[in-house]
Amino acid sequence: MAHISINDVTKTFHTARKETHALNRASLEIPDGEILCIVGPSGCGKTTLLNLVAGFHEPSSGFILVEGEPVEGPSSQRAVVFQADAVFPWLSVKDNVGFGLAAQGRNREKEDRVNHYLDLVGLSDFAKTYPKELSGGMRKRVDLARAYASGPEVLLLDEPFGALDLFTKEAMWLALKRVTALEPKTIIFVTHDIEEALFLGDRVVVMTPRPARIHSVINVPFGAERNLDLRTDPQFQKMRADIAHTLREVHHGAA
Amino acid sequence: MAQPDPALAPTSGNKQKTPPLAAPKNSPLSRRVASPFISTATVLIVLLLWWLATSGTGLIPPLYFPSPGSVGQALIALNTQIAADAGATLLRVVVSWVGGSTLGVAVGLMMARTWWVMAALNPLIEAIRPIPPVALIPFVILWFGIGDDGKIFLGALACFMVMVVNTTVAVTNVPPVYVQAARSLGSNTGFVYRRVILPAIIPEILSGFRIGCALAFAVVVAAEFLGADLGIGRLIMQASRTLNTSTVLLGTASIAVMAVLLDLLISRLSRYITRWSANR
Ligand SMILES: Nc1ncnc2c1ncn2[C@@H]1O[C@H](COP(=O)(O)OP(=O)(O)O)[C@@H](O)[C@H]1O
Ligand SMILES: [Mg+2]
Repeated sequence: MAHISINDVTKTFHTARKETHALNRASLEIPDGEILCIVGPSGCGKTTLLNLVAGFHEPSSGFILVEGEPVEGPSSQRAVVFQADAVFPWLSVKDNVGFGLAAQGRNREKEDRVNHYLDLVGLSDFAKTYPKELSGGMRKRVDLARAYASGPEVLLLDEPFGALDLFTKEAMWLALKRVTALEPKTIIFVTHDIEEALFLGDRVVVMTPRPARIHSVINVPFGAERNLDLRTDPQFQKMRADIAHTLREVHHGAA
Repeated sequence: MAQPDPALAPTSGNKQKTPPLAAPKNSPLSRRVASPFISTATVLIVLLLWWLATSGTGLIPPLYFPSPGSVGQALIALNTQIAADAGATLLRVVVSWVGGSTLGVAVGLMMARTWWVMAALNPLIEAIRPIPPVALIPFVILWFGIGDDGKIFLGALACFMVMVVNTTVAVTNVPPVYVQAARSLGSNTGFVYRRVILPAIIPEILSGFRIGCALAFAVVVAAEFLGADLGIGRLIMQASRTLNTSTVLLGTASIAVMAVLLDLLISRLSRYITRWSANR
């Protein structure tokens, strides 16, 4: 776990033909062990924000601290689950999950940890399988187990379940809930699914269209124990409608 | 290395594909069974037509195209000589091919990894690449004489060029998320290259390896034409001076047999090595 502090961060991409303002003066404090969900229109800069925290990009201005230390490039302290399929196709499921430990030279604990996380995401029977033989949902679980097994303090998830059908997605939510209950992490979870954000998040951040600003931060009051029926709760439904309303508003406001 | 280095921009877009198998694994059973029969039949029909056109009907005079029988006689007459020639050629091909390709992958990876190596070597490689290796034979004979060294050098040069380009292009095609994922799982640059970049480009390396094999044969035999103590190229050249076309054809056929067997070996090996790949 680690405290993340995003301070007045702006990101402008310079390409040959134009400048893209992807993020405009974003500030956020994310305490230890919180799950922070970010929703916003697509193309608004959510991935950019995550990449900045991951250390893949440098802010154009402002700065990001994790546990008080400035972010300087990627590190095993901050694992990422990408929007795209990033499971290594040339490694078996088991070797994928063990990749982080191998990279960090932690070979002694590898076997145990890999088995533990495979079990947690329900893929023990597929340890020796190559990713090409897995479904999209299973591959995402491999990705999640790989990130977890590497032992990060921070988990950055970029629309990880965006391409999955509802039932697989629900199973993935529960799997994530299960692993975070056992081993809490500070998590930033980007999504465009409001239900997903409310079901998983301790707080939900709504972003405006590009250049993304933080429009509002909403506290989610449902506690740690949540089951899928929570979504029929009137308060859940109301919050969902409110966020959808806000998103529509910011979208039209910008257009 | 979070973002692909702009210095790694593809040096050429031509990506040669290896020929497809007649019956890929996922085709229906009937096709998989029938396919080898049809292939065998084609070979037999061509052999039969050959025999018919030469010995059978005498349509083609033996000087222009020798009959199967005379090629058989040539084989018996040459006896161990053909084995010695074929062995010499095969050794040169394998050594130059394996050596040149390995060096090509190593240099290609270094160029992809370090911007100044790329900047330094790219103009040299781009200048040498378009030169047909056989054009260098006169120099090679001058420098190395007519023994093994020159032929191996030339074959290795050809394979090296194919591999350097294949490797640098393949590295730029590795999806950046793989590198980013590896980084955020705690890999240092060396680990990223050994465990992510290298395995990710294995399919391209193998396809370059296969192209290089055919190229090495072409270059080595051509070099043997112009001066050699031993080798199939020398055999063919010597026989052609006396219009001994049976031996010429025998030499040609022995190249084909060696090349096909070697190619079969590589494609089997490739299929095993890239068994993880989705388009297998
Ligand atoms: N590496 C990059 N170079 C140039 N522009 C980029 C780059 N990455 C993202 N952008 C631009 O920044 C904007 C925000 O992108 P992104 O953060 O991916 O949005 P989101 O994840 O919210 O859909 C987009 O307009 C996109 O085109
Ligand atoms: Mg995105």
